[in-house]
Amino acid sequence: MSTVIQFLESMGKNAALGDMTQEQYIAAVKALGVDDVAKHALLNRDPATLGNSLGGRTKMMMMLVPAEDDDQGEGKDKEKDNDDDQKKEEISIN
Amino acid sequence: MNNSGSLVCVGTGMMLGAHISPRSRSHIEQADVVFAVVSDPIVELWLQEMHKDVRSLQPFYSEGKSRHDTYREMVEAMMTEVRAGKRVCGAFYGHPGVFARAPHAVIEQARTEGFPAHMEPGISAEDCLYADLGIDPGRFGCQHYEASQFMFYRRHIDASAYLVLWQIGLAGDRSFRRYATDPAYLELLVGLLAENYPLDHEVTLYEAATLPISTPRMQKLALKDLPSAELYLQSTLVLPPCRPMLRDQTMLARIEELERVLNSTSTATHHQQ
Repeated sequence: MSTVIQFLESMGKNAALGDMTQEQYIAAVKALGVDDVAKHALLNRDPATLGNSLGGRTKMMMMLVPAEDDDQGEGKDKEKDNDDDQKKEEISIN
Repeated sequence: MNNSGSLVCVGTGMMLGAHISPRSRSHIEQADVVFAVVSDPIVELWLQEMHKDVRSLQPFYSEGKSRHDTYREMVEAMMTEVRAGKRVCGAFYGHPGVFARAPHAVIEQARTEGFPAHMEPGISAEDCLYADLGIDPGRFGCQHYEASQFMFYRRHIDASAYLVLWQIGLAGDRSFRRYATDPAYLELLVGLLAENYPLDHEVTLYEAATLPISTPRMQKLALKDLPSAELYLQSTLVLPPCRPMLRDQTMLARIEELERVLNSTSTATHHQQ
């Protein structure tokens, strides 16, 4: 695991690390021995620069739910109504 | 059909390292292949270090492409490996079953085809919201809607409870192809909300922290200022109640009458013994 990600995971897992004072945090980051870009991104708490320095994606999509199903919606409702009307007609004819 | 395939959808939680459950982590580590949708590029890199074959589902998203197609393709990508006899793990940020279409759909599809499939919960953005904003949904009640769905359908809003609108950054999008909204759509939403809330009602824009070096966004603003606010895909709008809860005196009287009957029945039974 990369040093930076291991550091972030430790901060996430360990309450003591998560609650470091700013001085303790600066010392911990400097002690990592990572390159200057990652070090400054960590010191500035700059996720975008940090992500770039690690080779992460520049853009993340995270929408996971549509507002409605793809068989819902005004147009679809009308289509469905028309289908229902047609079915009713067929039934009455038969 | 190769029956050895299986599927589990797990939640990674919101914050790197902080929220993933031991069980979800072991599912990721023990799978043959892991598919992932997470909300932060560094979280994606973290997952890739847990397993040698983590396949991001991010490439299925595309500006101008219907997200319905995106979700269908995500399901198909996972099912292809399940059908090939692999132990497949879908790792989704937050809770895989909360405001998430593909995890539910792929589990249903796998079960329909006879494969074992289940979901492991995770710490969702909603959970983080309660913790960060100090909201207990049990205190006044809490209504949750996807923002666009809230605009498309008539809802009976209870303004004595919390109202939470998710994906506010896409409010009003009927195409399912855009990845941002326009202030004009937000003006419409504000107009809709103004039927129940005063325009100067203080609301909160919320975004959970995804890294332990970050802080959550908890920006308070007046409802009328929403259209000019900076919104992102992960932004959520929280409206606190604007009026007190009203006691239902009719129901309370019926409950009192019921208690009187039950007490008298109980007393009569006691005397018979």
